[in-house]
Amino acid sequence: MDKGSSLICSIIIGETTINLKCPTPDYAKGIREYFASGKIVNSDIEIELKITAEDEAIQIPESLFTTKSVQNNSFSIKGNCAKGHFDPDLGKGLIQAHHLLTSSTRTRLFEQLLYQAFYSASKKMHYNAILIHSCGIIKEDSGYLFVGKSGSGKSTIAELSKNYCVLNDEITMIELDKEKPVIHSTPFNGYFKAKTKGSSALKAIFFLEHAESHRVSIEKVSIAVKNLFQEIVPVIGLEEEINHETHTTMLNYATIITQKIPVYKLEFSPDPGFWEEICKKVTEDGEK
Amino acid sequence: MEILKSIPEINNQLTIREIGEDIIILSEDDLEIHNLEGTAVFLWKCINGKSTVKQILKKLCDEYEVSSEQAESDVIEFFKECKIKKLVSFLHEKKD
Repeated sequence: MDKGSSLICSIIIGETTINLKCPTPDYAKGIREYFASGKIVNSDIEIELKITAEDEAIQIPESLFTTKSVQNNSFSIKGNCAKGHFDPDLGKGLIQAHHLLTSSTRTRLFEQLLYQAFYSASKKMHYNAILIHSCGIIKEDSGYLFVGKSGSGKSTIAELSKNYCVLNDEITMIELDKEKPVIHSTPFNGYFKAKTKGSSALKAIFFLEHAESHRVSIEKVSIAVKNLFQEIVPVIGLEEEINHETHTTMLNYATIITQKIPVYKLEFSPDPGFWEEICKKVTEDGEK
Repeated sequence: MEILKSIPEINNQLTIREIGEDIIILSEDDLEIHNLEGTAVFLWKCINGKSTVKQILKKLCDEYEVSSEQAESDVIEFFKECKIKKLVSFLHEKKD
């Protein structure tokens, strides 16, 4: 590997590729391992990552979406923990992050900038896709999405579904260009490490709720739209900030998905028996 | 009661979608999503910036064949809640 390519990590999400140019070969190696990134491929966009260690006072916010401001394709995060720019025409940009933002305990927060890089790449490639906080699983060639906030049981569902193909327990991608939405694995990590790369047409969506026993019930469409909206990763690229249009777009996505895919509430206890209930209910509804 | 004479008007900072028989309202102010179902949908659709709450109450009573006494407190409660959630603002009834 030559010096230039030893700095590159290709992050592939569905049909988009982000090439991240890291500060050092060792850093790139660590990033490749973390995202289980394979060989370097041609990218849709290129992002140079610079890590700073300045002593100036910084504050790490809880979100890198809501605290972001943008001017002429340049962005900055409140608290001085990250800034950068992205040129959507050239498909090239820079993320300059304070090392405290990239420390191991905050990796998932830092990933929010990569979610935004994904949306920048999607827009450039006219790829109609969103990221959603969910656990994606393929069982018998059908895709199932388990949606919920942190602590709702996404990783538990992944752990209890080890015999199937677990795409992710934290962030799954939904591609909307096809007649039926398709779920894809993403390199973004939750707690479940034995995830598999893949994709499948989405068969059903479940909102998670802890309970004493398993129960699957159809969710009212308006409630489904509301819950889904809340779990969609805000649809903004690195060069954009959240505005009214962002939320309208997210609401539209939530509406489109719930019109195409049945949405259920899954009350479950921590044993794999919930799959039996799911299959029974989905089959029953499919026959109606 | 004062609110009965007021004219509700839908705030313009809202994204509104009809989903099946329900209405979903996204409030840009607090990013809350509000669901309206059943009679709340009927009341919401009656808001036109011209009708007073009392007139809307009458429309509801005619539609659902209930007495004004039965429905009044629920209708007032609905509009008060809409105001708290900044979904509507109130204009005072124009006097001729």
